[in-house]
Amino acid sequence: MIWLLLLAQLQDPATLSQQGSQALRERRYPDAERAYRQLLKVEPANPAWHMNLGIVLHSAGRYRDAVPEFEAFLRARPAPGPVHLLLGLSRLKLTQPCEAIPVLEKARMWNAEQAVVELADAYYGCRRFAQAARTYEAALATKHKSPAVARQAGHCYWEARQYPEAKRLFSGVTQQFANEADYNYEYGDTLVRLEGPESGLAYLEKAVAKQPDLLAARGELGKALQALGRAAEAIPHLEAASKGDPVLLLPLSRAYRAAGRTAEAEQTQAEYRKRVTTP
Amino acid sequence: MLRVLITGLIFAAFPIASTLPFTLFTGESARKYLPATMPGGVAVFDADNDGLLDLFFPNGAPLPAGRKAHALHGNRLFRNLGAMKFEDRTAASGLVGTGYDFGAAAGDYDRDGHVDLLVSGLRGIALYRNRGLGVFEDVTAKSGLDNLGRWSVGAAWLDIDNDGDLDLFVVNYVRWDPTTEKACVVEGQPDFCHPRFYEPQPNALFRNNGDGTFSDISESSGIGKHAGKGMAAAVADFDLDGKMDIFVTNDRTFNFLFRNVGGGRFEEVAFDWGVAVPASGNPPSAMGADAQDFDNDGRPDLVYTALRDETFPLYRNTGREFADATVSSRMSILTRAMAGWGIVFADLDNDGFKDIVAARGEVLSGTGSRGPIAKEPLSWLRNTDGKVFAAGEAIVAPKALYRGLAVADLDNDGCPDLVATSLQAAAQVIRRVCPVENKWLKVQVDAPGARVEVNGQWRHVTYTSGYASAYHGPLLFGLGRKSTANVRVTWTDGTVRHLESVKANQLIMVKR
Repeated sequence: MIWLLLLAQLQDPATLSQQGSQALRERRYPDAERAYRQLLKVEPANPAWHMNLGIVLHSAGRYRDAVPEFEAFLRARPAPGPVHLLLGLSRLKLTQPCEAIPVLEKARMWNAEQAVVELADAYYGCRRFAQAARTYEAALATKHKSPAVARQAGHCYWEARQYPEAKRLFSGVTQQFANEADYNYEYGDTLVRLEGPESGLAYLEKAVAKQPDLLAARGELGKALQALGRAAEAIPHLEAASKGDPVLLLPLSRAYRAAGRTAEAEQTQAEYRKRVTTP
Repeated sequence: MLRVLITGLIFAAFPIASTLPFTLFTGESARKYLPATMPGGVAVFDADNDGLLDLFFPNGAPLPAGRKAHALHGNRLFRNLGAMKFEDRTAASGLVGTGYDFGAAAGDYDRDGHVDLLVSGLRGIALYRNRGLGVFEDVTAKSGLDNLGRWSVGAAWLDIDNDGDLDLFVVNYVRWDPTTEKACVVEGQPDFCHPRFYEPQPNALFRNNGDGTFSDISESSGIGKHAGKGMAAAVADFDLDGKMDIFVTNDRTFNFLFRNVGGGRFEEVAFDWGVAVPASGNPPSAMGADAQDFDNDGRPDLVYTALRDETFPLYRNTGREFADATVSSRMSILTRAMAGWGIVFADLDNDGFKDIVAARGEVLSGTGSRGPIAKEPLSWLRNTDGKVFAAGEAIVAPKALYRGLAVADLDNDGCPDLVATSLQAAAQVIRRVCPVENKWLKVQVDAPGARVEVNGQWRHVTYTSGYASAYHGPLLFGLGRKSTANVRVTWTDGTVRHLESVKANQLIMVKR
């Protein structure tokens, strides 16, 4: 009899809900999960229990399990709201940025400021760099304004090959990132492309000085030096960088030739033709 | 007959654009079949021998069928009435076509004094013989020309064996099969696929037998051994040995330079001459190309278009190889943000230095992720001194997805005008008024490959123009302030003719 009474009490939705929310507040996630699963047995069509269970699972770091619960909620309540943000965050945690984009776009419709950085992260993760850049830049007009976000916006414009925009953002954070090799490489590369090799050379040299094994920077530095007629200086950088990127064997062969090292030039060009299958 | 008036053109120092009632049909749909981003060129030539240059536009068709089904898909011929007025003569011309067409090459292959047309298309090529007065007949079958159903973007008439008649080089792009074509997505939206998803094709070479027929010598010439993704051909005698060579741009693969070694044979020397790939080592999306002497040293140089961030590579011919002048000429900075198709060396202000004019537009769909920035203007890159280029005046024409481009003096005022095509938009005719203090000379030499020197500037007779386009007309030289010119014409057999102190501002015909 007592057992039946207890069961009736446990199956009472109000009680279960209270237990679930309290357990969640106290980070007793297994208890909270048990309560909401119980509720879903009683009221399987109630989207609120799906949402709450999703929150519990998300909070417990079980993002894969949280996703179907958020999706079940959104099927019943598709209007833009916080669950879109939660689902988007779960997708991001699962490294599914492309899948996160549509829900985070809806989350942004619900609250532009809240979801903007997460949406930018999703675009970035999905390699939609131009949209990522514009979204990070939009975040700069919100509470998220910071040199790091500006740097990231510049980085995305650089990835998207929108160099004037990248330059605009990079130039505003030079002080904060002056000692970062990647920053000097990207800014230097941007200046080379926009204004010529002489403009970006100092940044590329700094990037290489800070991190000699940053081969992409060494490749760009080598090409810039070669374009400036400084073949002998270009050669060591191109030799190093071409070990990771066979495309650089061609500028290396031309640098050898300009430096009078004809045999090496021919050998390197032959190596380039052998190794570079056209993209 | 529809008479088109291009009136109200204001005389000014800046180019003024007007449109022709021809809209380039692409057949683009949500499926984004690749051919829809590739049309189309323009051919400028005198179809009726009245001394005025007429305009021919190849046109697209619905996809994937690739067959013209409506008047809107037809190729078009516009007769030049003078004073920048044109009338549509398509109906009487016999040039409407049947398939999806991209390019046109103009040349008098049968040497009857009337300029003929070769039209390149998605599933083959068509040869139209000009019977006179701008009336053409399709002689493809009886000519023996057969591109084996391959997708050809453009073609070039040239005399490979110096026998006086025009042979034909056909630029083939990729193998395209709509039933197996991948559906691609760019930045989350359906768009045209990258060329890596398509198989390369060899180009084709046909020798003119002199009797109205052609022989396919693609294999015996060596041309057919090289598969690429050909976009354009620029023809010149690059090594000045009296034989015409062929440069071919390839889309994201190594370019070809076919050196004519005589006997109907060519060797591919792009790497040896330094033009297979730009200095970066990354093969760009090489598009349209032109070969003329921009530094006035007597050797034909090279330029070609590519896409954003690839720059438009510019090469200076040193006689033994091409030196990459993209950075030193400042072309790298000027063109970094450009996506280009048609490109032509032309002295737009008659100052004695050949400038560069480019037809620009994104390769990706205007309805895709690049939407807001897909349309671009036409650009004038001014040659300041034979070494360095600078931004020229803005060309007053709307931003569009430009493709084909030809530069020609359409109103015979001695100043080059522009004709440009763009996807799903009306063709632009842009009249230019040159500075009056700068003189000019037009030289007509009906000998393909002949080299013409005027006051230290050089041009050679060629009929290709940038991307999928053709120009068959007099060579126009800007003379700057000089009121006379010394002219020297060198034929491919070495014969030379000098003309001293020729008065400026006229057209002269030079014969052997």
